[in-house]
Amino acid sequence: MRQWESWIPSNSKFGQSTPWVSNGGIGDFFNTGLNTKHNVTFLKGGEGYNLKLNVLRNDLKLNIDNANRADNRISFSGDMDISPKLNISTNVSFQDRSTLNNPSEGYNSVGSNVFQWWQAQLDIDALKDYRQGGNIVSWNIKGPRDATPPKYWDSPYFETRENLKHASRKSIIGNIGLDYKFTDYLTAKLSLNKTYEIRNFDSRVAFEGLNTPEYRESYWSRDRNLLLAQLAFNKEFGDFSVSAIGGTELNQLTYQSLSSATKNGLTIPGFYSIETSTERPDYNRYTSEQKSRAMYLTTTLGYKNMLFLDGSIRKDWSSTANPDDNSVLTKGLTASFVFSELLEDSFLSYGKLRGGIAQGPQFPNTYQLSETYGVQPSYGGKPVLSTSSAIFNQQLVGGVREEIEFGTELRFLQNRLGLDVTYFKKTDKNLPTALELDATTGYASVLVNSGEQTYEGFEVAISGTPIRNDNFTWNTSINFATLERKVIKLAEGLNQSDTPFLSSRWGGGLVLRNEEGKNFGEVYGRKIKEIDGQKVIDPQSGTYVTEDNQSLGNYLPDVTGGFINSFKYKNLTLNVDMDYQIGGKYFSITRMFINSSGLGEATVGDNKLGNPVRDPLNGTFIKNADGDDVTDVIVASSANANSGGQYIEGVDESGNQVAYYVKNQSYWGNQFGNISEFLYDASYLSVRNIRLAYDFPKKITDNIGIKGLQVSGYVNNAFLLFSDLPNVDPSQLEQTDTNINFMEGGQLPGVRTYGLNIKMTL
Amino acid sequence: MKKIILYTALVSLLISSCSEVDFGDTNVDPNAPSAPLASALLTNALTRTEHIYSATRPSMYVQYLANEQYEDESLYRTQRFDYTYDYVTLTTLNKIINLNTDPETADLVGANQGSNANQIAVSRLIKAFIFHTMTDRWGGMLPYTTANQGLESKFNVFDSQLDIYTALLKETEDAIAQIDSGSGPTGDIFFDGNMDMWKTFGNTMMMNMAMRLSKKAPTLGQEYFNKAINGGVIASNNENIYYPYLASEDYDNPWEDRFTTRSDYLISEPFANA
Repeated sequence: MRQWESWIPSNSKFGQSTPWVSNGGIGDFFNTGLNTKHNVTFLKGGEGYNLKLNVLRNDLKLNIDNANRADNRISFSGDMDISPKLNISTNVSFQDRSTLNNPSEGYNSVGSNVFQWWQAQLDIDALKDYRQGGNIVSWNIKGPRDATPPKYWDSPYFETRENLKHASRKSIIGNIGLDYKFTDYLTAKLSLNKTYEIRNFDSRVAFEGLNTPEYRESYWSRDRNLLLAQLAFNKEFGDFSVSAIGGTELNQLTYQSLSSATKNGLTIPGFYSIETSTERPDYNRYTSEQKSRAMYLTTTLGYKNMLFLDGSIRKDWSSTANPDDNSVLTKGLTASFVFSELLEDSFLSYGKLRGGIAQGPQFPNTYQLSETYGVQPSYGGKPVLSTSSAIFNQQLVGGVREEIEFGTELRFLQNRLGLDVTYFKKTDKNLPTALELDATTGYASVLVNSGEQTYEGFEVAISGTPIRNDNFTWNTSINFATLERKVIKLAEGLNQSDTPFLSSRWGGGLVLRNEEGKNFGEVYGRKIKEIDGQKVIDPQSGTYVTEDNQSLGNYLPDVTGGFINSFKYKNLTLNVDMDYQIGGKYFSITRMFINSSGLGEATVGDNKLGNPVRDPLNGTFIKNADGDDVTDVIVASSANANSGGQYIEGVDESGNQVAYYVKNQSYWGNQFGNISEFLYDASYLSVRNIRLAYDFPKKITDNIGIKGLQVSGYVNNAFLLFSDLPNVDPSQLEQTDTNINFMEGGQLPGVRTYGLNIKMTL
Repeated sequence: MKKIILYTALVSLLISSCSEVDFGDTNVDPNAPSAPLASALLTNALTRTEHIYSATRPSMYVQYLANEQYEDESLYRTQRFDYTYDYVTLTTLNKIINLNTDPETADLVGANQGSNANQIAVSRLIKAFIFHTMTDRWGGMLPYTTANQGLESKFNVFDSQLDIYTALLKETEDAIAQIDSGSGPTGDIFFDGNMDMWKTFGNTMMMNMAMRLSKKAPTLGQEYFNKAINGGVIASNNENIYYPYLASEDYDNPWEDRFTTRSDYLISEPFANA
């Protein structure tokens, strides 16, 4: 076969035929990454002062070509007594991180190239040689006489080595605090906290590749200041204890960003800058500021360390709400009862009941109250302004999140066995939300205070020490949590709202639907029609009959949890942590693409007749409505013994049994967009971490003159024991714009990390 | 103990009775103008009609072009269209009309951005033009009478295509009649404020709409066809009306971009052999 290299004149294989065989897949594209971490801490304390200095360096080389990250962090904390009553303290941490080529996922990324649009015969190493005979070359040639530029894809190594992306982040987090002791039961505290963060990004689309060269750069900063003053009272009166904390907070948050991008190409080959943009570059500046204040009082009453009653009141103000109504008052009340205090000599070593209600404010985002007009690029010097597709709302105010919780903590047999059970119900009411509007209103959305959603469930943890003797201890804990998230109310006159996930081009769309009275996050999309559990097939085309906008389940899992074990034998400790999830759904774009493009495993193998599915059909073609042969479908009963094709069976619209062999390529081509076929169960079980540590005995450490030495080895993301798609971990699905992890498309593989850790205490 | 309860109650009362805080201008968005400029809105609305002229499907359906690898359009497969973009453009045009009608803004807007009447007339003609192309695409599956009223009418009913065309013809006629001798809109990138050309545009559009009714409502169609001819329509090629693309990437012809890195469209055989 003449492969791509044979059409590149300067290539040594020019004009030659080479065997068309699989080259072992894309595994070779990934390297083994390396993560090195150094962490040193210095401590010193004395009469009236304490100091701590920590230096951390973390180097990460990713498993993708030419991608790495370096992290430096220095933190210092110290405090000293100025006088017996006044203490001053500070914490400062400085972080400097730089990243080269943070790998991209999703449509059009390197991930989607190697996973969705690939060819199994490609020699990965040959693709590193993407510059040949003065041209940039790629495997994805347009045709024999048209080898450059490529059709849809540059070489993945062109992407990683030429289309460079740099990112850096520098941040300072610090505070200064003053503590003053009036008496032993009354103290005052004043603290000033600051978080300042700057990020810089640049990225390029390199010259000579598939796309028009481009350079982008942006700067982003965030500055948060918090001033906090509080008075704390803490005193015991006989069997009673009282503590009260009252205070106030002043908050200020500022964002700033500048971003620019070249337009329509760059003028100096090999040089990337905004100044060398062919046309006037895009320039965008955004700044936002919000301020908030709060006053609060929390009072706790205790009786004999057995009964506690805790009440709080808080008022928050935010600059982002309607100025005439910019505060939210929230209250809380919790009670707990350690009833084991009343029992003596029981198998119950500790028993506690608690219950409470807590509230929290939720304010609108900045600048959502009054209308502004969008600045568009000028049209040949003429100003251009657009109207907003959202209706602004001057009346927007803060809403309240409320949480009710009841629980118990029980410890039995001298704490050898424990049981924690919690019931919770969170309610979001009248939070500021953007509601989608029917476009015929002239708008796409409106911001309102509306809706009600509840999150209800149980959290249960059982922990125990099945074995404990002088040499060996086994601690174990299993926990699970249920969650039912319900949409109680959306808005006046609206009982359904959809979040679209897939462009309608790809199979009529895939949406997550929120409907009043139903669970949050119901999946709707195209489904193969069924009659009595049998798939319906159209006898005139041999394709499945589909229906759009069908309920396909819920994306949220029913149960999540973990199983944690720690075994300690003398100085050796082994930790094995597992986590799991039951129920939920996710959609795999990768599966849909690789099956329709013939890369998927499902597109090979033998059919019912024992012949490769890719072999040609041999039998009687079905006829379409015009009476013409449909040349990619034969009636199953007419198939000759040597026929290839995918076997499908089901019923026609009247319920009669039908069966066909369909040309493999057509079968998978037709499945494209049938959402129901690429939706997977999000249940999984994973051995997340394994860690084996050895503490050197004191005898040895004393000999070498140090206080402690621990050597440990660990594996993170150790084994995915069970999941619907064997290579996809549903807990690590890529993030989408909507913050709902529900889709997988061109996602890079999960990374298993092996590590060695040496910890020395001097 | 009693004192503590008393203090707690007092402080709680104090907290809950605190009034609103004045944050001044903190929540005023500095990133975008809060005052509209009618001429800039008009330029925007006119550029937002661009997708109508450069749509790919018409060239496939009349077989000038054919798809290369992704052949859905060429094979007349079901295509889905979203009308959000067009209804939002109509909102922009309504805003221009409001600015020219509202006594608080009309004088200012009419002083140096074209006469109030002419700004309104151009906005109405473009609105009619957009609805004309929309109903050609969606037929009667389209709200017209109650559309674009924001929260006043959240769920709109479809109007019949005959009703839409009847209303559009009347609207076009009225808009042409509204044109006065004042100056044309400064935001006009089609005819640079030449109101005679807007009359020609309106009449030609009215003629096209009338043709749509030649079978369904021949009397009405004929009436407006004659009105259009009498008003003055495009009579020769050198009076053709073009959408003014610029060389700049922001407002250039999308057909150029479609061929920059890809070749998804090819000349079709019927066209090449014609």
